Amino acid sequence: MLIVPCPHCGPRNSSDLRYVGESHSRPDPNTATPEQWRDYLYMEDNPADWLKETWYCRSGCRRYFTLERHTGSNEFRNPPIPGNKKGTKA
Amino acid sequence: MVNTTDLDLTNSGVEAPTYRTSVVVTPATSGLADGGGGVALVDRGDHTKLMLRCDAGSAAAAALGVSFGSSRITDSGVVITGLRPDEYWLIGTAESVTGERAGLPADGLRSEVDLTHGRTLIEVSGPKATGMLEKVCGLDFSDAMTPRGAATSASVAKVSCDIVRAGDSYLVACDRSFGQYLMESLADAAREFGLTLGD
Repeated sequence: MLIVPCPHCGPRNSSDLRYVGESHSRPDPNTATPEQWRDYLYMEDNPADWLKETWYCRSGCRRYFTLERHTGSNEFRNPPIPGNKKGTKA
Repeated sequence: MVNTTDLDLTNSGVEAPTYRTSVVVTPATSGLADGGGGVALVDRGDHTKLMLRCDAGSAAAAALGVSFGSSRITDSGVVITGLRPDEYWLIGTAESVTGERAGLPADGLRSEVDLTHGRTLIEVSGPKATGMLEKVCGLDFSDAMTPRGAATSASVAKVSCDIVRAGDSYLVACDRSFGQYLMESLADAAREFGLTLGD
């Protein structure tokens, strides 16, 4: 079972959340090339390392937020604490 | 978002439809009830449920007097609860909810939606209610983690629910289309504790 630290609700079972995917900065749609836009939409780095991810707390606060997770150990780095929101809003 | 000063729930000229519950107590459900009294389940779906969304720092939020994750019961019996960082619910009779809403400041932007017909509300009470809920929900319902007045949202029997610990009981709300399933699931979970079904 993966326990995900929600910045609002606290530690929650991952089934209470939805994994959105890797966090990537969105290129400017007015200037991005089709290749850049395709990379933004479909390509992922998929590292065996620390990774910034977006999660959605679907059964709790219904907020999107960014967490740092190690894809090898499933450890969360600097997990946010409710009321002391260190998590980065997506 | 609309300016709520233009809205009037009580005098809109549209007659409110009669509430029809989505929870029907079938012989199968009532057969689970032995009147043991460990857990009591009551369909409170006909309570008016007014959702109010506004910024946590707004005047309306300050007047409501609750923050995210907490609730209070007013003198008129309305449960005011902060279910999400910018979402508040007022639960009670139509008259009392209308009264509480009338007392809110008109300034600032907010949105209001009457969820009465869209949500099922089940009141769970009894000395074994905590144990029964922990059987079907991953949250810790001990006094330390979920004290009286706590408000939270979580999966209950695999249904996304809003849960408010109001006084001696828990109010569990879900989309009305899941109401029948949720009532039957809670009744089934409560069977080992002694179940009483209310009106």
